[in-house]
Amino acid sequence: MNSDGNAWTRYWFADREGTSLGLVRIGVALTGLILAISSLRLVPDWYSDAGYFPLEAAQYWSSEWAFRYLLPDGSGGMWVSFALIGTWIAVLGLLLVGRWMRWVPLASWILGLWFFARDPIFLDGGDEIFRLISLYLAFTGLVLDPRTQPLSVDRLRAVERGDAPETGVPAWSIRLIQLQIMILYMTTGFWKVVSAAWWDGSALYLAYASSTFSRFGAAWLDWMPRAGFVVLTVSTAWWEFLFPVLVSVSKTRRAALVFGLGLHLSILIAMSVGLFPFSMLACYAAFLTDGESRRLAYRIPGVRRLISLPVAPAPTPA
Amino acid sequence: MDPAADRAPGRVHHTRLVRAVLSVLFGFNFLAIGVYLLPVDRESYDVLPEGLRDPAIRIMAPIIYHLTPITTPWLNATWTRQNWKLFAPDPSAWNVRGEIVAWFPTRPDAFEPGFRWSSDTLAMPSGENDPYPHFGRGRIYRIALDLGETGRGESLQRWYASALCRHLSDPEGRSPDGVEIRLFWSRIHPPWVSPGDDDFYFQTIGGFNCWEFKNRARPWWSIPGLDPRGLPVAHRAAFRGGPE
Repeated sequence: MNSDGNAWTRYWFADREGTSLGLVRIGVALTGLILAISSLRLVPDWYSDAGYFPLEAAQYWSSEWAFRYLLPDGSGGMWVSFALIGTWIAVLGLLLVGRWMRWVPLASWILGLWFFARDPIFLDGGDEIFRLISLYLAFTGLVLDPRTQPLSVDRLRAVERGDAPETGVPAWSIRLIQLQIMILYMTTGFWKVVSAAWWDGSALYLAYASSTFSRFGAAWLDWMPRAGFVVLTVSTAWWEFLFPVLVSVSKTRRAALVFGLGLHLSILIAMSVGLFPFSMLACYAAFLTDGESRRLAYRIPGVRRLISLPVAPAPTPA
Repeated sequence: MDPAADRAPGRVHHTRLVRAVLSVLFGFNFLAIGVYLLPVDRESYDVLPEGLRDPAIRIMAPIIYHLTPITTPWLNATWTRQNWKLFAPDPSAWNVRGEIVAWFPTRPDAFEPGFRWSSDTLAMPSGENDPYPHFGRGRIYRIALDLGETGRGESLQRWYASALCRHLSDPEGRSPDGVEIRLFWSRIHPPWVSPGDDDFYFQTIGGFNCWEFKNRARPWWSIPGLDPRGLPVAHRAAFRGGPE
């Protein structure tokens, strides 16, 4: 641990308690478990040569990416996929509780990539966010001392042994996630702000009337005057575009997060867009202060014991 | 927001060297993502006000041209490519419904030449409905958009058709001779927009001759002499002129 002053160094490398990183990890692990467990029934059709996407097709699809090497010849059988998905579920369980945090996040990322590369056809934005945040968690796991990982069994065991470090985590472990989400919102917000459909209110109706994504159709919105659509679409587009600013200013941060929470919960209820709401909400913890993260973690069953761990090493018995 | 405020001020992690290495790594990662997200097609700039289009292209084009060769290997190695354009710029104004039509070998005395599969449901002549698991509503969207429009779309169509040929069977257990995917598009109108004359259209993907798939499990590029764009023209024409 050093002491240094410039803004760049403080932004990326300042010491953080890191409870929010632990919450993101738990949220990502739960999202991955939803994905992996729900994929079990899809193995014959999606992830085996007996399905519609043979291994050769997957190799061809990913030939430009390094992940071509994750798909060696002979790995197209259904039982290979079942074995890997079972392993992935076990690894995600370890990620959830925070055990073997040097390698488990990396294993989770690679196993997830295997399934994404094995059949990329039906991937969506939720899978993309899950994949990206898993990468950042994997990198964080490789660099950080596992005993410093917040809300983890590794840290609990270190405290019980009396060799837990006094430090928290470097800010970059959380900044990577924050910046990724900011880029996401700003990009999609920009394209919405310059789009006519988000100014005249029709975008909301089109989204809710989509037979592909909407759970209830758009008929239940017929009562709303057009001005209501305009207010909702314009505010959503500008909120997304300005998200990086709104969460960086202390006076608007909470309002921006509450707006996003409402938006993603409404999407979760009304639209069928896969993992997207889960992945996004998991990442929201990265924008909480340490104090807010602690208060939130206190409400999660099973986490209270981990959150109350002392940062300093436990005293050694005389 | 400064969550670091809860900690002792001024305490930072890592040595200077490690901080420098990580700074370069993080900076390059987000530079690569940023370059990747810049629009590369001229049409994307049409959403900008007219006076901004050409200046924006003049600024973006050299950035994309010079940086893409440097940043793409990183994106490929880490799979950090990303696309955040769902519902943007405009949500799709079209709904799509899909049908799979499968043609089965017929007996000489058969009146109907085959059976028709429609979106989630196999409509049998007997009126019995069998769920068809490959063709959920989310997937028809991907078939319609991704398989039809991406550079690799035609190959994907063939793999999908190959799976249909293997999975489908008629009540007597026979495999189909061919399959075809039909898409029915209908325009979505908000309540304040009047319906127009061009609100529906029909699209066909295929047809695919199942005999092309039956004697091989290999994809087309590994088979010498096979036209990579699909069926040989003569087969396609003969099949399209078949029982419909």
